[in-house]
Amino acid sequence: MIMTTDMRVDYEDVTAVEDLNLRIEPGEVYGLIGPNGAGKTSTIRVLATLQRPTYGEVSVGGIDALENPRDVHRILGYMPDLPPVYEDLKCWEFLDLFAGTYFVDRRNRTTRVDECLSLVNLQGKRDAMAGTLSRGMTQRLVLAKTILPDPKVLLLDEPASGLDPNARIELRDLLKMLGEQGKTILVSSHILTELQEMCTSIGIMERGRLLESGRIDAIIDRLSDRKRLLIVELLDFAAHEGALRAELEPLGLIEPLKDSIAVAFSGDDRAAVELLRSLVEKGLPVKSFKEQKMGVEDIMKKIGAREVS
Amino acid sequence: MSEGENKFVELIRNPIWGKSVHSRLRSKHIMSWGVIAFTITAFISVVTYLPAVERGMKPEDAAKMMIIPIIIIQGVVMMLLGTGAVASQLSIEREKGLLDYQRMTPMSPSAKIIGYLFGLPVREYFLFALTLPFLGFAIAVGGISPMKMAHFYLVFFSSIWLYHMTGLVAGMASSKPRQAAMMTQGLVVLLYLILPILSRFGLTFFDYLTVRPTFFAMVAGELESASPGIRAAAEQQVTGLKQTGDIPFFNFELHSTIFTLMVQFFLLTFMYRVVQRKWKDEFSHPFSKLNALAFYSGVLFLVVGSLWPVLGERELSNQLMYQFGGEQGMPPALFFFFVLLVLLLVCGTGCLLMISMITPNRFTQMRELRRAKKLGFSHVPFNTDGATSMPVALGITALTIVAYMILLRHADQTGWYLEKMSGLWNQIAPVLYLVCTALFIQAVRERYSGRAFIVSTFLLWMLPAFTMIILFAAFNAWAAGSYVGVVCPPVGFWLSLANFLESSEQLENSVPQFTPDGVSPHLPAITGFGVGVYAVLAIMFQVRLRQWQVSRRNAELGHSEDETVISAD
Repeated sequence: MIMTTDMRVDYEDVTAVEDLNLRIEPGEVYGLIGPNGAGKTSTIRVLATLQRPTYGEVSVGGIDALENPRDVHRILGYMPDLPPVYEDLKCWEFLDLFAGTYFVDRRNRTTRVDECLSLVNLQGKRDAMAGTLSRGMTQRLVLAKTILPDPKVLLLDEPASGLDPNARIELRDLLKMLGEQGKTILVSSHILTELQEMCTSIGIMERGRLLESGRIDAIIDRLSDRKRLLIVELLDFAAHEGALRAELEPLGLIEPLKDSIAVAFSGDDRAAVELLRSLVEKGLPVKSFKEQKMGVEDIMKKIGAREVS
Repeated sequence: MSEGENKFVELIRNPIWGKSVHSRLRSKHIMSWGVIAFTITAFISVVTYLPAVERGMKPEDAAKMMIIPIIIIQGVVMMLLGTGAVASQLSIEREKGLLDYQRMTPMSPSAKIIGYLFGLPVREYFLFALTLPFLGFAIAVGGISPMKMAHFYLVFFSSIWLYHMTGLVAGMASSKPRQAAMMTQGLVVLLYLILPILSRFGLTFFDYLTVRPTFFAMVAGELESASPGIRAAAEQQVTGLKQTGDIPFFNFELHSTIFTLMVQFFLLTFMYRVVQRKWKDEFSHPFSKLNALAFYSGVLFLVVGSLWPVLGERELSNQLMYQFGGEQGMPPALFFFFVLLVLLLVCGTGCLLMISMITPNRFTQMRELRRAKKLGFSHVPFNTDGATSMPVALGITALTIVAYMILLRHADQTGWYLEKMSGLWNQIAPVLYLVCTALFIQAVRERYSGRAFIVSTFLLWMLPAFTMIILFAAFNAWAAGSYVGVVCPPVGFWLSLANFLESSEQLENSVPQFTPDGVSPHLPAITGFGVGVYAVLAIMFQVRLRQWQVSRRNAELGHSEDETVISAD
């Protein structure tokens, strides 16, 4: 579990993080979203014990990170943004180094190194010098280093940047698997689609403040006022638009789209079926009738966060 | 794995050391660097040994002659290359962010520091090892006592670790690898060439930061048959070293090895502390307030202990005076003047360094104030980085006064330098000047940014010195020039000490004055002016600092209680 209480981080005159209260449960894959300069990296560095906050309480895996940083190190895996590697080490040597520093049993060390290399699909590069890897491969090597000691808590700063689409899918699956193993995972990014694919929960930061935090479905539920967005598409839309509007307007707010109308519908699934039946019975040529799920991008629009791509 | 096993692994199979073996000792490195080092050592050994034997020298004497060049090669490899490697490699890791990975591993900070200390220069240890066959040959054929060589190498490696630790400190503090390497290599040169000069003014312990005294004490005698006169040269080279190889310290005589190890251990301990603090938090001050006080006290202990026998033991002070004055020796009062001047300059530099290292900038103070507010403290805790450094500045200046006065009393009792010392004001004015300057600097450093501090220091120190030189050189305005120049601390120390000694009763064979004729009559007033200027500046800036701190406190806490918030515990 990760928990911060009233955490503040200052750099000279600038406040990077202001009174942050964060709670991430085991098994959660939590996405920290925000534009550059929102305070994501500062938050992660404090959680990683690399930096002391101005004030506030920080607990990682139930351990006070400010009082007992070495105990936190035993259970923590951290991958920075644009992660560096020892360029003059071979990939296996790089992982072997960290296996040693995390006290992985010598008898199992080689096996564990090979396991991690195969988890990130770098078995073929075992004996390559780390300095010769491409950016995406470097990213994967550091990810392997991060998961090597089997940490309970993972902090990943922009882990998908530089990865090709296949590698992103693999990363998503890997994080999902790690989450299912009960690990607490915090992933930061300023790419919304990237996080939506990976995370069960999100936190949106802007200018050092946490604007919204929680499970994605709960946030959607809350922000959409418990309404679902139904899209009704008609054949020959122009001819029937008036009739469709007349049917939908009493149900809630509507928004005309290109060949369809979106309605904020507050009924349950049964009511939605009834609505479709009624539209068809009234002779409207319904081409499609679907519910549109609210995404992270919609959440961002809704809460008014800026500058996030 | 159990905790005990972990500690064993950390020490014996240090993975950080192993990483350096992988990265710095690949076969390509062994081949290229190894061939170069082996060839150079072999060449120098052969051209030293064979021609000497050809000329009819006994093989054992020829073999002894190989020792010095081999030690020089080892010194260059381990001290210059090794220290540079430590500093530059560490700062590269820090710059890239690799050090963050290591910061976050569960190994203890000590194990990490040891891993880096012995790992980063691993190639240099290998190169050192390549010189050992030649050294072994020289010892075996030359019949040199292996015990004495082992003794020498104990101190040699203690010096090496001291320098490598300096490299770690530089690597942790400097963000640029080249800068870090150059800084530490410059420091090695400073320790070997510049600081030993200070030992000639009685601060003998500076000589013992190097391996030279132990070399001269332990090895030089062994080489006497091959290099006649080397023992005499050793006594000329190393201040305070006696025939027995013992060092006078206070009223004791310590073996040179014990003394060297003591001085080096003292520095190593504090450097280790700096690295450990930086390891835990790279933004922290190098020293905590209490560490700074302890370190400065230790330096003063070494200073007073070294000067004590110089001021109290006729033989030793004569040895030093003759080093400067040739056949005649330096006049005692002049020697005493230089001893005090060097003492004040060293203490002044020490105060300045300590104050710079522990004084928080305004942002650090604000940060700590916010933290104290949040935690419900009534004030910022004394030993935190954000607390004012004023109490420590007062502490170290008070210690300086005590040390200075103890030495003056001691010198007064011997009566070898002056017939009778002048009054208390004249005695204490030089050190009061230092105290006021230190408190002024502390206030400026704490209140303003680093740039403002540097500019104000330049204006106050360099400009008056330049003006004084122009007034002296172009207008012969000795008194006016001195009034202006006294604001520059080195000049202020000179003039206030000159005032003290010129107003004291001189011994018969002493020189009467330390300043030009045009300055001497004005010395009391010039000294008073110098102390007064810094006393006024210190009070003025301390008051301004206090007002600023109270206003910041009120702004942060939102109320206007007037005391204690940023004061010490």
